[in-house]
Amino acid sequence: MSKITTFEKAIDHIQSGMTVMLGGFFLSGSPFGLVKELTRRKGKLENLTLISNDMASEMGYPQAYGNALIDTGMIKKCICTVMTHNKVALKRVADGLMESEMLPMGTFAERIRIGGAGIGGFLTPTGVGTPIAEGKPIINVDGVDYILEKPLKADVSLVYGSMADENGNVYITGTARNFNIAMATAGKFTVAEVLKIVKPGEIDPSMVTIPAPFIDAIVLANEEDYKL
Amino acid sequence: MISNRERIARKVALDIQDGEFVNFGFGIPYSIPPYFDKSKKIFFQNEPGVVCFGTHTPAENGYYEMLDAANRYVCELARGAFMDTPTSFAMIRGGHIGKTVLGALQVDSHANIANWKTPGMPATAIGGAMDLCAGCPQVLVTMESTTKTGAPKMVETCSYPLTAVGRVTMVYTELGVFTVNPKDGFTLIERFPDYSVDQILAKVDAPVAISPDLKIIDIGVPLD
Repeated sequence: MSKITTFEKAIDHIQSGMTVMLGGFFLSGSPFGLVKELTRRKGKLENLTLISNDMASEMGYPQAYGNALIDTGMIKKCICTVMTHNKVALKRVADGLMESEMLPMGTFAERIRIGGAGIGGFLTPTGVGTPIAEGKPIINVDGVDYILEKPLKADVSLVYGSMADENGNVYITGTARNFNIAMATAGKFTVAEVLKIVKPGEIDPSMVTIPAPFIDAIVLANEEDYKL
Repeated sequence: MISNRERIARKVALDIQDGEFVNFGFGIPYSIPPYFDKSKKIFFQNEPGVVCFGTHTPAENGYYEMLDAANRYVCELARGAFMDTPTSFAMIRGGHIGKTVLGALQVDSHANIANWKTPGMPATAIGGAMDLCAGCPQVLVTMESTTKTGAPKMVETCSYPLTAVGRVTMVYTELGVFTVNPKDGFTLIERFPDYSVDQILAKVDAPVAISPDLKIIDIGVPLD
């Protein structure tokens, strides 16, 4: 059965109150079309938790849709590492309209990775003795203190791919891989927006970046969205 | 006359050795690579997931799949590799990247660094700095010695929220180069010729030992 679907049907899987992961590191590897479709649900969706490195920061390219997404008011809480370039998000947090949990990037990445890998927590030296450690268990292993960090999971993950086949095998090039692989594994339902769809077998199995079992739906990107 | 930031960048570029794997943070560190001697091969590690060699160019049409943490097109990849971000941070946290160069708001005698948040203000980013400090064996801080209002940024105990505890190894300012560790505090090991030891000590709000082998820095270009 083909996993290829439309933007509308893919985003229909998101319901109010859900947790959504959004791949991408600034402009690299962000599923612009899925973010755009999500913003169209303004007024229909609310109380979402968004897990995203930078919340689709536009960095001067409005097609990233980050400002528009936060401006819909549907995001109740964001879990991120960088908010500097999303002025709308900074303002909503300052005005008390959106909660934010900011994490060290490696902790953010690994919490997502273990969320998708069925692991209940991990111990990291990152942030020991800083405000990040507040309220978190500290565990000493062989004389070194570590923070216990818990997994992050999502109801729906929105990720980017350079190429996919209809079975859901995805290939991603360059730095566009970023959080997309881990987020694909951590979503109960994962949609990949890809630049190109090819026949099964056309992607060398050794080069598959996200294997099909992690992908539930594929949408074909509109190339116009990706003209920078 | 070259700026404080340029002299700091040029000095770090001189000190990084051929073949090193280095992660450069925002601010002064990002301005360092153009000053590398062309004979050196320096490998750049960058947070989204790239190790590469060469120089950066601005983002261009179609290259959004190849951007680094500052949205710059990542360079010539003949000797490089891409990876995803969890792997990139395994590389960083696991100590496989020998050196990180970061900016800072404060560094203290206990080798602590504060660089992500000023007291009373909401943080706008944490990024990779905490992981880089926790994992990289060498943590180089580059910063001007004082704030815009003249307050020393090298202090006895950081008053700003910390990024990492006891992890800084070197501090580069427009005054000179210092080593630091939790046991010995700051030691001045090199100074720029236009600052005397007394002038340097006056700009540091912490005890500073003077290396018996104190060197005068020559960055190969006139300072004034």
